[in-house]
Amino acid sequence: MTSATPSGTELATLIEVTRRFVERHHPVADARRLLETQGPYDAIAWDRLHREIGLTGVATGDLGDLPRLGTLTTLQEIFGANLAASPWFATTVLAGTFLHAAAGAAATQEHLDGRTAALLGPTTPLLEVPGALPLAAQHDGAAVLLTGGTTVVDGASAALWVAVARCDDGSTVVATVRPGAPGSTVRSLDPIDATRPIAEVSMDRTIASRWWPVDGARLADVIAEVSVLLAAEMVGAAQRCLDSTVAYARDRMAFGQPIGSFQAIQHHLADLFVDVSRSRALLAEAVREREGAAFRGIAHMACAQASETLTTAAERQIAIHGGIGFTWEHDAHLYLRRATSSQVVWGRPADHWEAAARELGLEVDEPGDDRT
Amino acid sequence: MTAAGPTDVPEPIRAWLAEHAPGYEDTSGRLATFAPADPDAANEELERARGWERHKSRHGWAGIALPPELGGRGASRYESLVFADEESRYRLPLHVFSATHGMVVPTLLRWGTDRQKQRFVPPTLDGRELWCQLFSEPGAGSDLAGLSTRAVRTSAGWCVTGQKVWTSNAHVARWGYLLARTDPDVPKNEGLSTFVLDMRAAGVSVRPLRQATGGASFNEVFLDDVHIPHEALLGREGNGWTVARSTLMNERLGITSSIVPSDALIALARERGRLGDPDVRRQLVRILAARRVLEHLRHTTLEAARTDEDPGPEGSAAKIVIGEAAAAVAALAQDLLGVDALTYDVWTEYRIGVPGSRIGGGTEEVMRTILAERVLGLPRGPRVDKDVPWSRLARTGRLG
Repeated sequence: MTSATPSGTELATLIEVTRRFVERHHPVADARRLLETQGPYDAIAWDRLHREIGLTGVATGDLGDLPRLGTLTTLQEIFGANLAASPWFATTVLAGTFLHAAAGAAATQEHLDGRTAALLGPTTPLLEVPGALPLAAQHDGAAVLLTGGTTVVDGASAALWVAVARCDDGSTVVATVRPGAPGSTVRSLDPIDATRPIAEVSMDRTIASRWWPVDGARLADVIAEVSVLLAAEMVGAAQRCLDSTVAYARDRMAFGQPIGSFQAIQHHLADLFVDVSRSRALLAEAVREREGAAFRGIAHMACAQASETLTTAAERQIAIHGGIGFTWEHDAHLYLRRATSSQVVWGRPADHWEAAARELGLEVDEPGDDRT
Repeated sequence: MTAAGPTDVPEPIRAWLAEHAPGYEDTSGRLATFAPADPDAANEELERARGWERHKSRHGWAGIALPPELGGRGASRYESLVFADEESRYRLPLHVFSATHGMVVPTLLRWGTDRQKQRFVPPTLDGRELWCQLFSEPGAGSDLAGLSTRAVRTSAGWCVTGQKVWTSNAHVARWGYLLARTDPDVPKNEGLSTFVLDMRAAGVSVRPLRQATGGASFNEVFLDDVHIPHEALLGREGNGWTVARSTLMNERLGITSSIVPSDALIALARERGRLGDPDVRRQLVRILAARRVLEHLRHTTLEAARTDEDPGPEGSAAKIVIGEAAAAVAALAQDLLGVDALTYDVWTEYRIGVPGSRIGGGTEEVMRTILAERVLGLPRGPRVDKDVPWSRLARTGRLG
């Protein structure tokens, strides 16, 4: 396969290729490597992903006959199961989705051709909350100047910054910025989840390389789309936690029988299965809806539910493994770290539940409302 | 906000129901799924249920998936489920005939003789003959296979003595689908048989059971030396547990999201001026999410039916989701009502009914064990009664 977008590729083939790629280049051991060495992403893996397999082209470009959201969520599940640590997340899922919405497929392909990117974007799906967009944009003739600061995934390593900023008049723009451009500073932070390297990025009247206006409605759609993609990744990780724990419960013996035969363990895992089922169901419904307020509403439900489910799954995995699940050497805490970072990077479950409520018509501003 | 149905409902079905269903809807505003406390209201509901079955039958909508020679339409199981889905959006008294259609008729079709099918299936289609399911006993709920109602062989058939409980509609049913013990000296699962019981036979007495919400949806059924003829045996003698299990699998097809009264709850929140409260909104949207999950699980079940696969584990998960959603609805409603929650009304009646709905049809604990053992493949818990003759088992009040 060449670096060209694999348009017309059967979905099944694409999934199989991705699965093999992730198994080979992103075993959970690679996530551990990042945690233990604070080392960089595997460059060979990224090169293969982009150049040979063309997955970033798939995600940011035209997918031919393949259904976009359904394809991407399936791939995201595969990445999530192994806690794949790759520029894919910040470049494709975060920055690429915004760039694609603002600038179109061709421009996105051009900007992201092999380059890694990072998103300086919303900290919550509730855009009208003060500080939701941490960057302010100022028009200066034909140029746009950006001011503000935020914590950014891959902020220190990305070759391109994609910023979402609010103008004085309330409108929003998506802009590309060269990392290190005049007025910008970068400071790496010590992450709790090493698969999500973070840096504090700030700008002071930094000139954007290019910029596009994006209206509020489009922004809401993009935020919903990213929410679905992250939900899929979390579902993949939660499923892996469930599968690993079921396997452990079958083998581990206590009181003369496998611990999986004890009702307490059975019921905890059954509840976890129900939670994962909830997350999968909402994810599938979001993919089915595809657009409009119904889509956005369910997208946020899916993200909130998947977020809570992954947290529960990671905690239960440790609990059922007992002491060994709490050791550094066991992979369980890696999933807990990912559960934590996922919630913070893209908004708390509470914010997504509220975003869903608004999209689904539970009006906030009612005369005579008691806002306690 | 009503969630959109995930399945495309054929226009003839949608249109016919839109025109005819409203005439048979409940207008009381009640939300609880158990029978009303007022006996006149309970009777009215029963007659309305019979009327609806008759009406469907007259217009050719009865027995959609049943063969024409038994009075049905001869269409697919998928189409009958789609009809049932659309039907469930109206406030119809569907629970009255649901066991008859959903549990008994499929069992007769699978295990009955041609004579039994011819005799028993057609009269269920127009509301004439209602069935009750005689399974649970005071000593056998979750452990149904441990039941003790005894059918002793006679020259003319069997003689049955025992007691059944939680029997919906026994007081008005024409026939009972009976699970009884024909051999007490083999392990419990192996000594059961299923029968058709004539509810008018000598020795059958029905006593209403008053549930916590005040009405009497259920009954106790006492069987004292009731005679059952040979031809009333359903399936083979000793094969009753297999028959009963196949019946219970049909339960998974019965769950629809409309059972969660989210629209009424949103209206209550709006009416009380609490829609702006973030806590209320979060609880509401989580309940809406639960409905959407149920719709998706239902959609998966329907798709499996379309390709004629067996229903998967979705039913067990769905029951747990519904139970938790019902409790969430009750809790939020109580909060919204404030001091009005001291008064008996549709919401407080609903609230008292919630724990019952989480037990009937299989407790959530049983659902969890089914998911754990049969879906996740976890090792089965120890069973002390597996290979022991039933007569030697310990039962409540009787040591083994």
